[in-house]
Amino acid sequence: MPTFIFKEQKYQANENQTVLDALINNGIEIQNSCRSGVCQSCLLKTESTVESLAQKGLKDTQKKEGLFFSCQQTVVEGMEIFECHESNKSSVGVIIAQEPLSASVVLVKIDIKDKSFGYNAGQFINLVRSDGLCRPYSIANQSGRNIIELHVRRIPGGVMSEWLYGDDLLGQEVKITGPIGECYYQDVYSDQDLLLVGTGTGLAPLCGILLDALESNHSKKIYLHHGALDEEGLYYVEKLKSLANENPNFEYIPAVLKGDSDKYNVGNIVDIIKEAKLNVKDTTTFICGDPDIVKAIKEIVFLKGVSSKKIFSDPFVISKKTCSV
Amino acid sequence: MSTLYEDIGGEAAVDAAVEIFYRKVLVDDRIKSFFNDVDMEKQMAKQKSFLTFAFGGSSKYSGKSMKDAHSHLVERGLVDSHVDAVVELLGETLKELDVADDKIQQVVTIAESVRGQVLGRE
Ligand SMILES: Cc1cc2nc3c(=O)[nH]c(=O)nc-3n(C[C@H](O)[C@H](O)[C@H](O)COP(=O)(O)OP(=O)(O)OC[C@H]3O[C@@H](n4cnc5c(N)ncnc54)[C@H](O)[C@@H]3O)c2cc1C
Ligand code: HEM
Repeated sequence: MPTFIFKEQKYQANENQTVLDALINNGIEIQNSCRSGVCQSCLLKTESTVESLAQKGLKDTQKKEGLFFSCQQTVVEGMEIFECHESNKSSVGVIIAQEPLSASVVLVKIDIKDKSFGYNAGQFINLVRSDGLCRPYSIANQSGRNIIELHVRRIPGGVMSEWLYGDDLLGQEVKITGPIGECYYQDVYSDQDLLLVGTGTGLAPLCGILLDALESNHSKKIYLHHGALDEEGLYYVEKLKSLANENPNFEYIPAVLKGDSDKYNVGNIVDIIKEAKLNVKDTTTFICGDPDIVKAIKEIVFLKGVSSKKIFSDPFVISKKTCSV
Repeated sequence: MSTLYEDIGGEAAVDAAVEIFYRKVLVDDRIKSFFNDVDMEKQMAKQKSFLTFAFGGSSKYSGKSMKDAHSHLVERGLVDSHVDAVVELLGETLKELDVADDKIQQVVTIAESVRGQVLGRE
């Protein structure tokens, strides 16, 4: 009988049993519905090779990440299975800089000790503190570096963000797991306009995507919309303005809900995107930040005519996780 | 003999149809509220199940029964007029994809065949 690993624990399956059935048989609750590889509710992740049927209809980015339909895949001896937002890759990291970017956002630089820990800018990692406190943060700097940069917004009363914002952490060791997610730039987007929309530190993954696109000499348009409640909530304004000056195909559009209309677009970012002109046939979109706003903007972009296959997003949903250290 | 599913264009047709269909659903005041509380990818995947079924492509559909899949919607007030709306949007979608009228009729018949189950009457 084949054995497999799920969340670091070993289980047994019957011959020719699907991953979904094997997990359920072992008393593990896994969402599922159609059981025919269509509804996507039983999606899981692995680094083992899977049958093509188990990935049919998934986006290329999802296939690359190892996502598969557990109802369409038989258990292969020794395969290790994860939930979609987990990863087996991890590295020790050392905090080497904390620089304020605004009154509420701090730039945290982490030196990744495991040099084989690859990532794509815009993906996110789980940052695990020595006591097991664990939160996802997006990678804001270019791909292929040994140091990752995070933009962390201080949430009053927030355990991880107050710690990263307020304490002197230089030299502090943390654990990093990941990278996870499909918000990142790929060369196949080179014939596409890029629409990047974010609120708050939703700018972080978008910065990563922008920097990678510019480094790849992306020649089509890149629109970056950054929304905040007021001027205080914006950051990197000068940096992004100068990037826009240097790169004629890049347009930076900061917007505030309340504020000085001489300096910024004033209005709800959802309405601003509603009014935006898009080349809908050839636009790839990345939307990150506040979950409600992400959902609303996704719908708008989709209704404008952009295919759902070209809409990627990271809603910053609140999670209260602890992880193994 | 080719099946209805193959005639319409198989999985590629389902992929094309789900985008068109879901754009219609999201702006249809009669039914959009039923589709509002879930995230878009998940919802579109479910609608893909719906279309695959209606196109006659899921003889092996072995998931939840139609009744179970919609029971929480019936609790929220799902009635015949909503099924009418869904069937209407389904027809419009297929027309936009240039599917022949007799094929559209067959699809509508399949969808109609589970009306009672969807509404929890059977
Ligand atoms: C995929 C993903 C990527 C993310 N990337 C980033 C990133 O790049 N930068 C970043 O700053 N954050 C990011 N987040 C959010 C981050 O993971 C934490 O949720 C956030 O930092 C709060 O953690 P905390 O421990 O400080 O607060 P907690 O102790 O978890 O929460 C404290 C209180 O604050 C409330 N709260 C939590 N988050 C918010 C919020 N965003 N707005 C208002 N109230 C809140 C909670 O309801 C709770 O009552 C991301 C989240 C996800 C899912
Ligand atoms: C006309 C016949 C219909 C058929 C054949 C049908 C078929 C389906 C199928 C196969 C699913 C996926 C179920 C699953 O695997 O979980 C589904 C889900 C769903 N259907 Fe229908 N459906 C019909 C009518 C309707 C109507 C009239 C509405 C509302 C106006 C509706 C709203 C939904 C919603 C919201 C879901 C997702 C439910 C969830 O997220 O749990 N359906 N349908």
